[in-house]
Amino acid sequence: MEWGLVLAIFGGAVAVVAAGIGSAIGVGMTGQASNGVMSEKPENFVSCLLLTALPGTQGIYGFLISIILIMKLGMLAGPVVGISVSQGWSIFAACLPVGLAGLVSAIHQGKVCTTGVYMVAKQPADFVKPLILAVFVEFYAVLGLLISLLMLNGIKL
Amino acid sequence: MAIEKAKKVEIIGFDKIKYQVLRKLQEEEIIHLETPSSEKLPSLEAPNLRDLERVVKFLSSFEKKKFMGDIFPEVRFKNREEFKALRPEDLSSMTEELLKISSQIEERALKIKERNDELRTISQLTFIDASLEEVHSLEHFLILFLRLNKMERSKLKELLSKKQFLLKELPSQNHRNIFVLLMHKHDLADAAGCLRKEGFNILDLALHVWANHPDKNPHEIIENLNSEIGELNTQIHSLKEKAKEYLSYKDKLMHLYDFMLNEEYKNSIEKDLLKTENFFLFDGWVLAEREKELLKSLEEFGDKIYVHTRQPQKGEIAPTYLKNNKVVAPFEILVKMYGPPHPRSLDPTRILAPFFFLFVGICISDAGYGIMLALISYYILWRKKLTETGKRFFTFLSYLGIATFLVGAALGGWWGRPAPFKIVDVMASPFQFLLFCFVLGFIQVITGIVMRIYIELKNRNYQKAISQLSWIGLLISLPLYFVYKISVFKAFSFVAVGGILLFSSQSKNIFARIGIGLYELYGITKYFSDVLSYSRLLALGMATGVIAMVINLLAGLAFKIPVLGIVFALGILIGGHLFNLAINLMTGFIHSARLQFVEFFSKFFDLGKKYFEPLKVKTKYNHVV
Repeated sequence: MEWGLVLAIFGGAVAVVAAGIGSAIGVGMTGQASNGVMSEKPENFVSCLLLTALPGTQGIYGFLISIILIMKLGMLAGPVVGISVSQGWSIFAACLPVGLAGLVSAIHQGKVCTTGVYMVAKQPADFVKPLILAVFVEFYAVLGLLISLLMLNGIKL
Repeated sequence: MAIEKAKKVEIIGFDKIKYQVLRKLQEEEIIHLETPSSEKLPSLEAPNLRDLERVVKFLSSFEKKKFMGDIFPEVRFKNREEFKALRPEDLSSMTEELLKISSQIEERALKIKERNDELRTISQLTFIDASLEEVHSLEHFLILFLRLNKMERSKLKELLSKKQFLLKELPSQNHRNIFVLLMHKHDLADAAGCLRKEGFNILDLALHVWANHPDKNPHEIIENLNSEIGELNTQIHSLKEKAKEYLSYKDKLMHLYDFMLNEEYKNSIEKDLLKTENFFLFDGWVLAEREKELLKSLEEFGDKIYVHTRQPQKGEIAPTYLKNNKVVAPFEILVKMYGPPHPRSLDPTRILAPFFFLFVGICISDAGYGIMLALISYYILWRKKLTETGKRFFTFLSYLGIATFLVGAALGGWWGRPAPFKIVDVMASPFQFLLFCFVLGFIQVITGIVMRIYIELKNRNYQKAISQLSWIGLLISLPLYFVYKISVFKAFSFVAVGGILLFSSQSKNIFARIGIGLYELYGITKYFSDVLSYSRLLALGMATGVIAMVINLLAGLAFKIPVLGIVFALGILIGGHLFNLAINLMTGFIHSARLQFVEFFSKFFDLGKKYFEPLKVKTKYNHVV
């Protein structure tokens, strides 16, 4: 296997792992808070569910970039050949935006969602407001996704 | 645009008719009370209400759970006449009886739990074939049964090292770490004290349960406990059967609850009423179009009551009542989430609707998902009894389904599979589509400014209208100049900048004006970032399509498994696509809502005070319509 391919695969792994770590931390944090709130107020299930699911999207974005990469490399079809080292580095770099922006934004979004869960416990009718605030954080992951997509799309193999 | 005008009302009357007036107003649902507030909640702590609620909950636990019953709780409708005709029945003896049964069941359930704990303890000692009396029959020595982990064991050995003792692990099949300790009786008190000092409590397993029946061996005790548990279970069963006989009264109990809740509500309002010795005063708002109706409905009280209506004065903010036609009304959900628009501004529902429709469509952008979403919403609208709010919500979802279908069909996404027909291939030319999203954003931002101009003109702030108009001129001509380099656009831009500099402030001092104008001009970066924010539409749209593709891919791989492949593949397809739809509906909805709230509303939205909430019958179980 040549180095170009190794770098490309490493990039795909970083995208899914970094974003996944962020989402796992974010969802875990919010999930704990949700369970705590629901132990007293089970009727808040739907709003807690939405808030808990939200920091999970970064992981999906990372996963998505990895899948696009796998398809671009044609790994499912058979052995991959002919990726130069510079192409490998480019692909690696293209995977970083979604991975790193996802990692950090998911953790912080988790914090926003966790406090959102506490808010919902007191003001059940206002559950959309914390969702909107959480989306402010998510926007940076969306930008990362967008840039990763466009970069991958632009790299000619 | 579609915010109803409201007028201030004051009703003054004789104290003795206050309840009749209150009941009448509640039936008519016509007045938004300010003092006392109609949003006030009755105190649910009233003991009889609480008991009734508990009884209803207890009875509901015997009913069969319906599929998705928690998400779609049963809605019971009562028309107003029926509710009015309702007279409270005295059900207190039944309530008491049911509460008694429920507490008896709880008591027995608790006992069962205790017995089970005891069973668990004693079953660790089943290897002993003697009664406790026999075990304790040695004259000078005592036998204790202990459960010790490794650390506790070594600690114990260390503490007892100066005494004579025997510690041996017992060969029990199911339980490990059970030890028998044999030591001299007069050493025991000493040793126990010593151990306690070390923060280490020896628990004699035998004492806990066995001591109650010293004449029996563990096997006999287990038998006893089991039969006791059996007996308790039959008792619970018969108690439940007894409770089930009351199931047919559940409706009546719920009615009674609602009746009492409403009485409690009226009482709590009455308590806050402004009053003198002989008179009371209601202070509130009525919609201008229903003013005559209000006067007519209060005619029956004749001259015992005085009703005064007037236009709101300066500084008074009337509650906001949105009125839209049936097609657009579901989009009010979004405006309501944000807050009430000021009665003197405008209702953005109609303008926002097409944008939101399109944005959610782009965010999901899969025709197949659109069909699924619309079908699910229509199914729920058709099969489930819903409240007015519920109906609106699912109509709204069905709209989003249609939007998703239309956009998805145009972009060629069908459950992640490419379609032969598509207007734009987003995957092949994402940059063009990104530009398209920016253009959409630009249009919405400009629309927002146009609405600001409309509001300013309506309130006769001509200066502000001019400065906003200049902004539109600048925002349109500047990009055009950069793209086409035609000097007409350059000239336009300069004129617009002049407009912004001169008219952003209403100060009389020209330098202050220009200073504030310069500051305002800096705000152009805000417009720039607003438009960039619409790039999320592209990213979210692509995300849906790619995940759908991945699901198909996985299903394809699963299909290759022999025999069971088709089952796995179907499971992955159905579960995966539903999951993808749910996740993307959520993110699509929230991101599109954010675009409305932050990028669009910030241009023109003036917050009002409250939504118009008429005083009406307050219930919990029955919807009075």
